[in-house]
Amino acid sequence: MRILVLGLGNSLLRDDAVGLVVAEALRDRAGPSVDVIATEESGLSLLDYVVGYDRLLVIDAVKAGSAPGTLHEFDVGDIRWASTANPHATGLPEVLALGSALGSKMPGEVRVLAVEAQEIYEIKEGLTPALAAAAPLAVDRAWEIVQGWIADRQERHP
Amino acid sequence: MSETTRTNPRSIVIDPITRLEGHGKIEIFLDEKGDVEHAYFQVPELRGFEQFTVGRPAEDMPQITSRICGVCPMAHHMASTKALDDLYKVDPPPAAKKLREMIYAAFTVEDHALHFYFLGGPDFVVGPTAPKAERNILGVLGKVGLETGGRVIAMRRELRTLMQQFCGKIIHPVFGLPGGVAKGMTKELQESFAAAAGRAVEFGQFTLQVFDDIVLKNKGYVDLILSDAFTQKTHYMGLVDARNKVNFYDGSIRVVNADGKEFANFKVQSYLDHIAEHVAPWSYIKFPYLKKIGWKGFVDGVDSGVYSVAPLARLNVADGMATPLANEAYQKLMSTLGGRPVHHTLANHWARVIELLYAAERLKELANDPEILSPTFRTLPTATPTVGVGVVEAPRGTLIHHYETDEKGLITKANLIVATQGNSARMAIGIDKAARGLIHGGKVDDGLLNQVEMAFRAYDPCHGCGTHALPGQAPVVVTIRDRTGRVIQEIRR
Repeated sequence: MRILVLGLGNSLLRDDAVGLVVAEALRDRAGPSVDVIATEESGLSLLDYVVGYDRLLVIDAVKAGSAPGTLHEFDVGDIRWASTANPHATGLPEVLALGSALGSKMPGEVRVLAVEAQEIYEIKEGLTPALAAAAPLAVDRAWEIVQGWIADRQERHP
Repeated sequence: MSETTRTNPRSIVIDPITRLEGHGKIEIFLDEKGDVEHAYFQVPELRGFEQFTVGRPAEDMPQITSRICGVCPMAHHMASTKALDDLYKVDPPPAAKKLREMIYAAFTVEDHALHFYFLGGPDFVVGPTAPKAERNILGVLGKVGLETGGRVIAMRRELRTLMQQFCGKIIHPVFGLPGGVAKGMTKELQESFAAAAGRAVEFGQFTLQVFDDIVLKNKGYVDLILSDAFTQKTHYMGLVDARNKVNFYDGSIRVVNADGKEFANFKVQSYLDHIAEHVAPWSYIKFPYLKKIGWKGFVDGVDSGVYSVAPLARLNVADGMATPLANEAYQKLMSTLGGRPVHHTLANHWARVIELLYAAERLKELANDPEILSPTFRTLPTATPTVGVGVVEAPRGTLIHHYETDEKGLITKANLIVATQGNSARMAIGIDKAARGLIHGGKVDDGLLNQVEMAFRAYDPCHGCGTHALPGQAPVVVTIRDRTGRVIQEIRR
């Protein structure tokens, strides 16, 4: 069972970088047990990254109206097509559906871990204090999810 | 929203625009009878570009600007690189210019393919009146077939892989430098580009056939293209070569008026003599207009300073295409739609396919040009920097980068005129007109709203950097408000 952690965001737009920051931190923690990709690309460009994996954890920033730093977690099936206020994950269900329709092996389970951002419209590097504080918690939660998947993998192929 | 809804007369917001890159919002204000008083579109403001760049070395700009927008990084990288040529008053050797244009042609092919099939496709390939549930990527696949869908993905992947091999990561290209490019072309990679270019030309011809079969042979679509709701008579702007043919990489900026007469033809360094920006209280986006005519409001016609950019505008300012297959297609478009200039906004989709074919043919010419293998691919800059301005035709229109620096080359001022901005006034006129034509007595239905959005999507607007803005795909919201500004209906997609 192949596991991918995909961090999305833009490192020049303040808290929009949180997905990248969390993914990089997870790369250090998880070591070679899972693949980690942190990318500033979006939309269809993501298709090539996710092909061939069984489970996918997407980490991204979101503006959903809760307190900055709040963690949101959902399955990709919960995202209505092109209907969320998240500039990156919006295209994700479409990308996955397209890949499947074209016969590519797409991840059977896709979890999204989104961190409520405070500032994503300012061109500036660095997270706001609220997000800098939340990032380690997001790393912990992401690592829990991934460890759960690794345990599943070991049960199936002891 | 699937059925017709009667609302209390007054305001509709379409926010965010489905499938658009960047966050968009359309606000429609109704009068007391429930008819449209004004329709506006809004985008969030991306702040701080100038502050971010001031004090940084100008050489960093091709990397910084390509990162701001994940949608068309290569267009920013190239405009920025050309601004650095101008800043250091250095002329790249012929091989460098050809390599830049070749990579840029590859980028244009893959970006236009993405838009035609997957972003604009739901409107035109699937059809404007198709049920909402089918107006998406899977609907496009259902119409064109899985084999074609696979071909689009494979073509994009092949071109992107080659670009990465030569330029590094798409978002962080290590390619353009003031006076040239970062490395020379190898024989082996050149052969791969040439092979891919051959396939790209076939792909372009095939895509034109798809457009012909699905759109042109369907009277309903053609009538829609020609309909008054999607017709605006504005000025047009685009880059042309010395023979007035479309060119994405270099040339002079030509403007024609609504009657097709040349209004201006200038080098980008004098853009401030020709382009000024109007600020409206209801939008963060600035509305560029022709300075020599002046801002006459959101109106079309030869007396208005409003102009338009992007595929149809480029075809309208040019006397033809520089490559044979694309030129043949250009002649067919012009003769079918009544001659130059064509004012039908939805013809942008057709123009985009013709440009895709041109870019593929140009890619093939350049990939087979032995000069790209030359070891002389950079002229070292020696001049003291002061001001540099560069321009390219981004997929979505004329893109200008303007930097000013101190004598050490540190940025003191930076200004961008991004492609989507060039269409912002015309889009505002188009949305207002479509809304007026389609919404009466407070009656709004899903199909009608989709047509309002189509007036927007034809331009392939990318508010990723238009505000200066967000990369990625974001949704659209339409808000309908009454005379008092009260929201009476909000439609999210």
